[in-house]
Amino acid sequence: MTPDPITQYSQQLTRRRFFGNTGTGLGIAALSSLMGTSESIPAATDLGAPHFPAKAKRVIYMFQNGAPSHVDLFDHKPGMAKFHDTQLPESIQQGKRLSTMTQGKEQKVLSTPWKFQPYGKCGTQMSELVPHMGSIADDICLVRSMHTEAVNHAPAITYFLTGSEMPGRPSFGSWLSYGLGSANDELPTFCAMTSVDRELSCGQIFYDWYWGSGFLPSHHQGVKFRGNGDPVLYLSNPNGIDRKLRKSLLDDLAALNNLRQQEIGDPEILTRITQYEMAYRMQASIPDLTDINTEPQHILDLYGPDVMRRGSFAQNCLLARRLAEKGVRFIQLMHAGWDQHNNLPTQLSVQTKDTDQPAAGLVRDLKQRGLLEDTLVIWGGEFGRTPFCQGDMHNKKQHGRDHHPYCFSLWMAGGGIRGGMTYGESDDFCYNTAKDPVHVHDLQATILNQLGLDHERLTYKFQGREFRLTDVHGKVVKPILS
Amino acid sequence: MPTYYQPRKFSALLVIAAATFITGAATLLANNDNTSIDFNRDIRPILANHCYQCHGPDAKTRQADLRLDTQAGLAEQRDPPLIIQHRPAASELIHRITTTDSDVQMPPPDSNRNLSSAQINLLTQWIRQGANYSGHWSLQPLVKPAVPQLKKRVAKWARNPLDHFIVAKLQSAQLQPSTPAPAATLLRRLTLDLTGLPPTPIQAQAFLANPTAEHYEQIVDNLLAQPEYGEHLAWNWLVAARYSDTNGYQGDRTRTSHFWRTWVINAFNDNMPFNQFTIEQLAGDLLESPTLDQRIATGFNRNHPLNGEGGRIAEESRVEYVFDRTETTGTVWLGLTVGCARCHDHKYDPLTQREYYEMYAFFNNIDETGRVDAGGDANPVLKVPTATQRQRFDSIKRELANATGSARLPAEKEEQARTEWIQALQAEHKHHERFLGWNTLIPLKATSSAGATTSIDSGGGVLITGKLPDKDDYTIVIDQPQKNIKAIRLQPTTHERLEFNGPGRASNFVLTSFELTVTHPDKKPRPLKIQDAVADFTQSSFDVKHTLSPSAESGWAIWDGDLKTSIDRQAIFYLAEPLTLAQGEQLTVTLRHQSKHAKHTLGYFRLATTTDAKPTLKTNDAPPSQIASVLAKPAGNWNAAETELVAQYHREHTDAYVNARKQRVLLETEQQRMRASFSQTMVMRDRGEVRETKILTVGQYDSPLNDELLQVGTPASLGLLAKDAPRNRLALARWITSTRNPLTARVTVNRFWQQIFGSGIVKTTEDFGTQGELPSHPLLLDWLAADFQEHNWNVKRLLKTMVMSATYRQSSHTSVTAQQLDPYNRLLSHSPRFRLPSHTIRDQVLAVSGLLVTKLGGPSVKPYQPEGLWADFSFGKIKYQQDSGDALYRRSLYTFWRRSLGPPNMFDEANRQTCNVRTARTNTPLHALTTLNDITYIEAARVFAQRVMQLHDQHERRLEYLFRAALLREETATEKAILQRMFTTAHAYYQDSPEKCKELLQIGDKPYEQTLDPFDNQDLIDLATYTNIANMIFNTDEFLTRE
Repeated sequence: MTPDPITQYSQQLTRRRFFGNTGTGLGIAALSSLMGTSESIPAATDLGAPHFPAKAKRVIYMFQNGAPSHVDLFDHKPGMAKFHDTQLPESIQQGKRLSTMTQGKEQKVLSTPWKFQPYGKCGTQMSELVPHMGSIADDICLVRSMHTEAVNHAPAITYFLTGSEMPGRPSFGSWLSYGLGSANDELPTFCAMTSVDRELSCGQIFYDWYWGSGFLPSHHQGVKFRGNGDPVLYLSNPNGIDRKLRKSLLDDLAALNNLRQQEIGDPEILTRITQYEMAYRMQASIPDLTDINTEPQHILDLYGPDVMRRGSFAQNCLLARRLAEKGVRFIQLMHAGWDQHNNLPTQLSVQTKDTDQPAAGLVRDLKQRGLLEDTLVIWGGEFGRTPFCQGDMHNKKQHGRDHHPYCFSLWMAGGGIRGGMTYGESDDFCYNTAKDPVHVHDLQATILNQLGLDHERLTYKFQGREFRLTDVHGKVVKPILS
Repeated sequence: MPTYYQPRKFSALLVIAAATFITGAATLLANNDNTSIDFNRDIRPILANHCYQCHGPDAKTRQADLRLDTQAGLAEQRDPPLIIQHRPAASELIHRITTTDSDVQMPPPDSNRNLSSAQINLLTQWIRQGANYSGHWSLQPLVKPAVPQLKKRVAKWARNPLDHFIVAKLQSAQLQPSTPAPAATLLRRLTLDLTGLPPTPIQAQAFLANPTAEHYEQIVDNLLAQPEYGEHLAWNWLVAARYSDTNGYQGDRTRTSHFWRTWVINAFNDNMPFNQFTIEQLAGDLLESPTLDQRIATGFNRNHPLNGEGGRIAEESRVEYVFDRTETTGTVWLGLTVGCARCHDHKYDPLTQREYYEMYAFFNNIDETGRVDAGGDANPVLKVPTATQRQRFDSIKRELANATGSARLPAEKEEQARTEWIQALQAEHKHHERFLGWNTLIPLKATSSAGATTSIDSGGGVLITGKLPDKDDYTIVIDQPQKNIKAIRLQPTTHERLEFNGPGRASNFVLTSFELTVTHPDKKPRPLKIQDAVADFTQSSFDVKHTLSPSAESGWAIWDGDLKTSIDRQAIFYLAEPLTLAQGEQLTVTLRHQSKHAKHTLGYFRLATTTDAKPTLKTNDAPPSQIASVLAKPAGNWNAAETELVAQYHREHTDAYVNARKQRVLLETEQQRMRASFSQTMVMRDRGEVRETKILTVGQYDSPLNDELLQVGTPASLGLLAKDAPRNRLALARWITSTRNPLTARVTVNRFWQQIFGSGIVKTTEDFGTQGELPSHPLLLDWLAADFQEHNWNVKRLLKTMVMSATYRQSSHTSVTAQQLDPYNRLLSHSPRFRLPSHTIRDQVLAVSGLLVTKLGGPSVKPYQPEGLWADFSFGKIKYQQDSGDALYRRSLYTFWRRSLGPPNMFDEANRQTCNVRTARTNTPLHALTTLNDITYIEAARVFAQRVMQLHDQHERRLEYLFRAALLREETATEKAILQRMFTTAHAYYQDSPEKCKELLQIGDKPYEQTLDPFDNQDLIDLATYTNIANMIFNTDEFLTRE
């Protein structure tokens, strides 16, 4: 049927609303297939984003929920051994606030029971617990001077992912979806996946605000891929309706909606028709994506033995690569565990077995496909762990380390980050940053920078204020850029 | 009563009525040189966005001591002069924004706040036209504007004053209102807008048959009177109040907050005036003798998240809660983003950091710790009965009053009874030379083997209190001389100090052994043999005879199966040989409680003995010695005190008195038991000693800026709290609802406008400050707000005004002209058309299919949800226990809301973490997947199809009915052809694979069998096919949309 003038006009209008009038660059192409629209959204291109050429097109953030111990994995301080079982010097502790679990209790140095060794050509020192990460040492930049303010899991994770300790702000990926739009037309722009430690050791919950859109329009929120059932909620057709029947229903539905559009002239109806079509495409593309049986054995081997288990960190890493190939912009893996307050000697090695090989495997796989160049990979937790002992120092089965926000480590690879380097230093006890501190907001500014976004200009006005991911802080960490 | 609101003093210069500006839809007005510049519309937004950051209200970041947010600042004498009226070229302001010298250029080139040439042009014109200033519009006093006069032609179109404002604006924008909406569309719109549910086909038919103005008004009145109205209005209020059934944060424990929700529904249904609605929620507890409901209402500001995380600092949490209350109150009632001033003076609006903490002080005095310290709730909490409990509770109160009344005989009768009683006793005494019956023992001492506290009262009663062990043995020593004793009586007796009035320490008891021993300091203890025992009541299989064997397996207990344990009981133990205590001998009674039933020990009891040969359960008490000695004398010789003593004793032993007491204790116990089973809900309650409030550096709970103690207070720019007002939340609530507060009424009518028309007159419902959008119809907003106040904040009346207007009744068809001139329909040249909220879409399919269960209020329910969602996010710690039956089909308002993970099929709903007053409305493929595939929607489609098949035999009728019952209009021929095409496709599909039918039809708990009789395979195929069609109709844009 030939559209009448009103329809034609409103189609134009929709498109104009959609793109804004002024934007140029990646934003336009991306927005042409943005996952959703709403009349109340200022077009992202009004921001003039991207602000400069991007080094990275997408991000894979392997968030290690629970806080891995930098003391035992990345921050080699052999000098701590001779202070083992003695009170941490006051000059180091400086009366800093800790969690109420260890605040005010005695703080005796617990030197790491594991060996460190240099890895790669660069010779970066890392623990024997992470040999696979060691094997990609030349590709990664290990930051040893991260610091944050939060001392409890949920606020600290929320801080990393939304820029605020209190829930309610947009998460990292939704900022990117808002700023850059989508780069594909069959998958969401921002996907999140979760996994938990095999021997579950802690109770941090995966709150959906970790991938929420806060006050940004809700179509910017991350789509959670689930480890069981439908990978995306309500993705499967109901029993008794197959894909073909569904297609005819959707065709007829579109016909009805088109009639209504001609009658009423509301351009929003056209958007709805498009969204139903996209839904239909996702019903095929997502099961395809999550079907890893097509992967050859040597690729599966990269990710380690756990890769075939649905919902495992290893499988999520593999899915992350597949999503990256399809042009998904922000892939957020969250692996919970690491919270070794009282079982560090027994549990940390279990935890690293789960995560070391898959994380390194992902970087290798991306690299061999040429994807690492424009994919920024990040691995790290919400804070570090205390260099002093929590619990019974003399009973290996009953001690560990408490939360520690003042200094910890995190690594990045690809997306214009220099490989084979370390950045920043801690003091002799891994307690405070000693050189080149990197704050959470600095990391956020740096990641945005690699995506071509100026963190001070990526803003959204809400309740009378221009909000940013980095609040009113953040400096790009330039020395780690290639 | 104090006045609460102390208005600001306006200098004459400052006030230029807000009425001077015309429209917020700036695109509608070309700003050429001929246009008059309006400060609020054209200039303030530029200054606010580009200059206030450094030259605004925040004193700390202010540069060059220059302030552009006040008239004084703009007019300040400076060198060179900032602004010279009518001479832009000579004004430093224009020089600074036009220069290319980056050293003096404003805003600084690196600030990302550069001005466009259009903005520079506006500022230039403004100065050229005289640089008029007016205060921010929303803070100006509310004055009811005159209703615009209309030309005859359009005046006919208007139905009420609201239309005058709308059409006047439309005309100035060269637009015309639309034709009226078709009757069916209008009815569907109206019913959805006022109740959140669609009209039934029968209602639609009735209106179509008689679509008159009178009938329409009648329907409006009916809808406003329906209970579904209150439920519908409650939703947005719940969202604003960040209502949730759980606490959020780690653990995300369940709380009981549904009482407050029911309060909100009832308040809307009762059409509680909005000022009262406000006062009760902010400070109901501070009203004079507040009712239970008024206390429940204060739950509004307890709906914030609660952090029960281990390692959390309680005071830090508490301070967060106070911030939340301050900011939520600011957003909901004042439309102000007060949160900005938590860390510094507000950058854009006249609110200082100090004023923020003065507001904060109102909410800083709650009797709370910051811990989750009352089950899943946090104190202060209030015990709340359910509706049934409340009824019974009230009737107990009445019964108690009656029981007390019936305790005494009328004076004459009482005297007569007493005389007869005295005569009988005296005769008995004469005949037997003693009084017959039981003589109560006054024990020498009583001890507990497990360390409970014992005490003996003057009447010989033994009371056990203190430590409550699982098992306990009591030893009672009697040293009164005893002669020829035949039996001993144990009287477990109720006592007000015991839980549920006893007689056991925890109501019931299990006495496993009753032993008697005669002791003498020089002799071996002599156990007494008990021949038999009887009791006036025994719990089945807990016969009193069990106490005679030493076994701990069983004993005597008195639970009656109906929680009526609080009754005085007695057991008689018959001695094998009569007992006489020799000189120096004592009687020791041992009461053992060794059963497996923990804490089933006696709480209060008495012992008595008798020399009567065959005492029974009916045997009376002998008068105690004090009474006995009086009775021994002839009545004529008694003095007044003795007469009264006897009268008192007699009175307390009349049947009426004993029964009344028994009744009273039972009722009181029931009351206590009920109170113990009451639910609780979080409420506001202030501490006695006022908690100190100081300004906190960047909102850090432990970093006060200085030692200065702040008092409660309201921001100066809004008008101060009157000097004689009390310094508490109630005063704040009264200040907020003062008719002189410029914001409350404006903000409130705007929110209701948003509810009816899709977006507010001020689009930024949450922000009426300088960063918010200007109103599209400022005069209309003021008229509505003033009218609302004049009519006692009557919400139903306000909504009725809106839906009775011609503006509301327009068609939603969009003309090309309208789309060009006003693409967002801010001027309402046609009815807004928007997708229904997801919770309403769900309610709608439940209603259309006939599944909806209409039951008002009560606890939340758990309808369908994909498996494993809660378990996934909580590592298996929290599991979703789906309800069944009616609970699956309640309105979405009652769906259990987990704060960390809202109901998955409710998309675009606020997250309930913080206050939210504006609806999100997006359009994504995930929404399509939900309404296409969720069980809720498939089951509703199938049940709908079932209903249609029952109603109509013919295929054609069925097809039509599916369409008409859902969309309430007749299908066109083309539409019918599409439905038929879908029917043919689906029918062929199910014909080919009949096994698919059952797969589809089995979705959902409502069984599909027994629908049609007989029910053959062909019916199954039809049902599956119609289910597909219903599913399709439920997904049409028209069905999902309020048109």
